Amino acid sequence: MAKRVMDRRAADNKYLHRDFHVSGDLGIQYVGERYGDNGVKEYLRRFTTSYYSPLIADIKERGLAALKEHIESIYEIEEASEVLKTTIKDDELLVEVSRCPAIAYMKSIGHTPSKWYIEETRTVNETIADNADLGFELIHYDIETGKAAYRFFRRCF
Amino acid sequence: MLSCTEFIPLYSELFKYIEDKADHAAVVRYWQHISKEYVEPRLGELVKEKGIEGCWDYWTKALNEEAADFTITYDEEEQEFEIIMHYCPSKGLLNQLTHMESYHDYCGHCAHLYAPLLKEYGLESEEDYSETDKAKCRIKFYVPKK
Repeated sequence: MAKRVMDRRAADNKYLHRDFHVSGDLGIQYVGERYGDNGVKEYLRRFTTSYYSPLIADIKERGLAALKEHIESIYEIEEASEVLKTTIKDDELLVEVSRCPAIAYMKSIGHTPSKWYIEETRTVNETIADNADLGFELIHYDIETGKAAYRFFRRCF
Repeated sequence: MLSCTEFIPLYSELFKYIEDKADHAAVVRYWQHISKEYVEPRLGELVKEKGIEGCWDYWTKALNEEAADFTITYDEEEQEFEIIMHYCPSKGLLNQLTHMESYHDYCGHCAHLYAPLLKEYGLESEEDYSETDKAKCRIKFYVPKK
C-alpha cells in the first residue's frame, strides 16, 4: 500500500493562489447581503485604511509615482501586466485596465462575481485617494469583464 | 482589483468587521457559511469521489499555490491524511504586518471550515492549534477503524 509524502518550503513555490479572488468576493457578498451596500463600503474602507497605511504614507511623500508603482505591482503579481496602462500627466494618474484578471479567473472556474465586486476597485481606490489627500474618479467599469478606467488627481476644496 | 496575495489581510478585516457588527458567534456562522459555500464544492466533492485521498488532491494544490512551508502525508493503508504546517503563510503574513492588528482568532477559521465538513463524509480529525502564534499547526484526518 502506498504512502505519499510531500514536503515543501515556502521558497519552493510562487505565492499565487487565485482562488483567493473567489474567497474575497464571497466575503464582500456576505457583508453586502447582511449589512447592505454601505456595509460593503464600510468594510472595505476599514480594510484599506488599515492595510494600506504604509502605501498612503508613501503617496503623501512621493506622490502619484508611488501609487502608479503600487498598481503596476498588483498586475505584475497577477501575471497580467499587459492589461494595464498607467499614465501620469499634469498631477493626474490615469489607470486603464483592458480586462480584469481576477474576474476572468473567477468566471473560468464558474464563479460569477457579486454585484459588490466593483467596490474592490471603486471603494478601495477612493479610500486610498481620500486618505492620501487626492481626488478619485471611476470613469467607467464593465462589470462583465472588469474593463475599467479611473483617475487619481490633485483635489482642491 | 485587489491582488489575490492581499486576500489574507482582507479576510482578517472581514472577521473583525463581522465581530464589530455582531459578535464572535457571528464570525463562526460566517466560517460555517464558507465551509458550505466554498469548501464543500471543492474539498467535499473530492472526498465524496475519492475518499480520504481527496484531501491529498485538495491540499497539495492549495498549499503549493499558497507557498506554504509544510509536510503532508497520506497513508493509504491506514487511511490517514496529515498536514504538519511548519509555517502557515497566512498567519505568518499577519504576524509580519506590524502596522495593522489582525483578528484575534484568525486561525479559528480552519477548525470550522474543514473538520465539521469532513465529519459529514465519515472522516474524524485530530487538530493541534496550540502554536498558531508561531504560524504552526497540525491537522490529521482519518477513517475511523471499525
